[in-house]
This record gives sequence, C-alpha cells and structure tokens, in this order.
Amino acid sequence: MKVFYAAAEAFRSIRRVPLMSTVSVGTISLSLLVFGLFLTVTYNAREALLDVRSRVDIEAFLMDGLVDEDRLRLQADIATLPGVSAIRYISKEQARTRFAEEFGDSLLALVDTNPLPASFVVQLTEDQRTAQGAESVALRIEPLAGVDEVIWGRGWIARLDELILVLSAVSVLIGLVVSLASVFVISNTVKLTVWARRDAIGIMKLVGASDRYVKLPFLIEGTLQGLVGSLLAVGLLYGIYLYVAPGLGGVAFLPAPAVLALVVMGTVLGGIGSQMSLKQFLEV
Amino acid sequence: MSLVQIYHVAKSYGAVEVLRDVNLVLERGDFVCLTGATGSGKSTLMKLIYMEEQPSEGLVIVDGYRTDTIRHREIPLLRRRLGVLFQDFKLLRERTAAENVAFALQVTGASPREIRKRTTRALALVGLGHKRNAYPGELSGGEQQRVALARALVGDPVLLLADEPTGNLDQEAGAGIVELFQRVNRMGTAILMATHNLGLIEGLAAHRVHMAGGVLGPPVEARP
Repeated sequence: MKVFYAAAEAFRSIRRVPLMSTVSVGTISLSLLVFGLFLTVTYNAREALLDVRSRVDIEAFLMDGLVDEDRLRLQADIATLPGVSAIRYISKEQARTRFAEEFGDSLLALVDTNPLPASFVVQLTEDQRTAQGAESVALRIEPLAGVDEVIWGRGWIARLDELILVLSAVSVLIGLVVSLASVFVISNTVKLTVWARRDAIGIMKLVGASDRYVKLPFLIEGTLQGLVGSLLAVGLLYGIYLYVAPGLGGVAFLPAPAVLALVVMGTVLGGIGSQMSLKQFLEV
Repeated sequence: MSLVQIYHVAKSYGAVEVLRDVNLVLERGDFVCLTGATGSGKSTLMKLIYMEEQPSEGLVIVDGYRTDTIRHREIPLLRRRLGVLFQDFKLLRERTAAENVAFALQVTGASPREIRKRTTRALALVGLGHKRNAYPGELSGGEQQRVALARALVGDPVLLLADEPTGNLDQEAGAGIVELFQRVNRMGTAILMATHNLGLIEGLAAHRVHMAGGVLGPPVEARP
C-alpha cells in the first residue's frame, strides 16, 4: 500500500516537473554513454591484446644432425614441461617451405644446402601466456640436449601485459569519476525537485509522516530516472556502435554482463543521488 | 495524566530569547485561547508542543511524549495524535479538498476504505461534503481553512493546535471557524488556539492565557 502510494507520488512528481526529470535522465544517460563508449573501446582493445597474447609461443631451434630418436625424446621432454599445452615439430624441409612462402625462393636458391634449422613451436597454457610464464618455460627448454637456441617475444609480451594493466586501471578510474559525477548531478537535480515540493514535505511531516515515508517517493523517482537514463545510454551506445562498427571491422559490442552492469549502475546511482539531497529537508 | 504539561520552558535562538520560564498545563477536553501580540512567542510555544522545536530549558510533555526522551522517529507518532492548523491553511494546491484531507491518513498507512470513510465524515463535519472535489484555488478562505480543519481532525486527534487560524479570514468566516472549534471541543478534542484577535473570542467559553514578550501571564478565567 505504502509502496503503491509512493510510486504514485513519484509519477505525480515526474509529471508535475517534467523538465527536472528530463535533466536528470539526460545527465545520467550522457555520463553513462561516455563511460559506455570508453568501456567499449577498452573492451575491444583488451580483447585484441589478449588475442595477440594467445598467439605467444616459443620456438626452440634444434641443432643440425639430431637423430630422430633423440628428437622424439626431446619432444616428449618439452611436451611434459609445466605450462606447455602443445608442441609442433617443424622439420628443416618445412622451415624451408615456410621461409620460401614468406620471403620468396630467390634467397634460398643462392645456397646449395638448406641452412634453416628444424624447430619445435611450443604453445603455452593460457595461464602462462605472460612475460613471466613464457620466460620460465623458455629457460627450462634452453638447457635441454639438442636445443640450439630458444626465441620468444621477451620484450613485447611484457609491454603487452603492462598495456592491459593500464587499460584496466583507466577503465576503473573513469568508471569512478562517472559514478561520482552522476551522484552529484542527480542529488542536485533531486534537490531542486525537493525544494519545489518542500511545502508538501512540510505538511507530510506535520501530519505525522515518517522520514522513510517522505523519502520513498524520491527514492523511486531517482531510481526510475537512473533506470531510464541508463537504458537510454545503452540504446544510444548501441546506435553509435551500429553506425560506426562497419567502418572499423571486427569491433565487438559490450558483452551482456557489462551492459547489465551499466544499467544496474545507473539505477543504483539514481537511487543514491536522490537520498543524499533529502536529509536537510527532513529536519522538521 | 494531563494532556500537555509545560514546565519552566525557555527557548532561545542564538542570543534571542523567545520564551522565558513558561508553565502551562492542558487537560483532556480543555479549550484554551492563547492571546498575545504578534511575536510574543505563541507560535514557538505551539512548535514546542508538536515538537518541531526542542526547548532550550525545561520540559514539555504531550500525551506521554517527553521532549527530553523522545526519539526522532517517535515524533511522527506524536503528530498523528495531534491536529495542527495554521493561518495560511497549508493545503496542497494541486489536490482536491478530499485528497488534502485523505493525505493525513495516507501517511499513517490506513486502508483505502478507512480513508474514504473518514475523509467523508471529516468533510461533512466542517460542512464541505458538497465541495469535496474542489481545488483550494476554487474555495474561499473560510472554506480552505475548513478543509484544513477537516484534515487536522480526520485522524481523531486528542489535541487541536490552531495558530492564528482566523488571521487570513474576514470576521464572518473567522466566527464560523470558532463555532466549529466549539463543536469539535464538545466532541472531546482539546483545543489550544493562539490568536491576537480578542474580538473573536469575546464571549467564548474557554480558558484564556496571555503571552507577552515570551512570558506567559496567569490564566484569565473565561467570561460567562
């Protein structure tokens, strides 16, 4: 009963001062839109980086003249190392073909024998696809008999890790700033609404309404504005995505949990903002 | 136990002393007129009774609620036992007469049926049953104050506090309100009415106390 009444009051207030509601909803949706746009960019950048990192592998070049028996034993040794998920053998012949495909035949034609060594391409398990993981696996392969040289993307993996970390941190930071700004703006907008209705609040208090009873309509109003604002933001974001994505190719929209989180965030912020501004008007 | 007990109450706002050593006791069913010039402290005394203000010194006890022990969340409970009336009616402009009256019951969580029943009864009591759907802007001053009175009475208060209830009304409308007060009082509700209009309460069967400069004078007995 009280909730129905409060909801009716909230709608009454929205109808009575539609401009304020519009301002609230507009501000929430703009803030969340900016946040959402940034999230989309970070999300895609992160996905791209993770994709690159998933291709991180180690290549162990073998000494020339290794007999098959030794090579197979070496392959088994490497395959059982912790952090190794797959191993693939590239024979001298395959190396030559691969080289020819990438750089053309002309260079190889200059030499009689095949100068390219055979190698193992070692793939890492997911948790080891970091600078540290790759290094530790590489260091274990290096001393094994028959291994001539191990190469892996030492520097750039580390830089990639840093980049991912920075991107995540910046996302969190922007999220925080947007949250604070939204709460601030909503609480100020609600303050205007409350000010416009201070007489009604005074009368409510006078006839014996509890603080909670006075607050509830505003809570519902703020929460509704937050919900509408965030839905609007998601809609706009999707619209922008549809408009821009074809030109960029392969860009993904935010995953469902992130969209949901955005909507929940807006709704909660709306509620919090509305309650913050009420305190001073309840001291009657 | 007496309905209202005020003991050695002083109230100051900063350096401004509004009330000084005020003592007053109201019994259930009493009708007391509080006279005094504007600014003599009548409104402040009213505020102390419905506990919008706390005394700087002394103690106020209303229907068992004490200013020195009442909790913030108990104040609404006290106010539901009181009816308050102001000079400026304090009606919500965008609600009809019936909605304004019902408002006071809605906050108590009464059922819609109960609200309808009691709203109708309260409006009938003040003689405005036929104007239940009129908005305050469509009513005369006297009618608006009667709507406010219906709102104050709809919860069956033990005490009606009226702060200059006729201040914005002409003589005739004001007399109408006072007449209603007498009826309400005969039904058992205690009334404390603050007014500076002595002509209005001439011949009224009520106790009279006079306030001047924040000090309450001795009770003046009602004239026959």
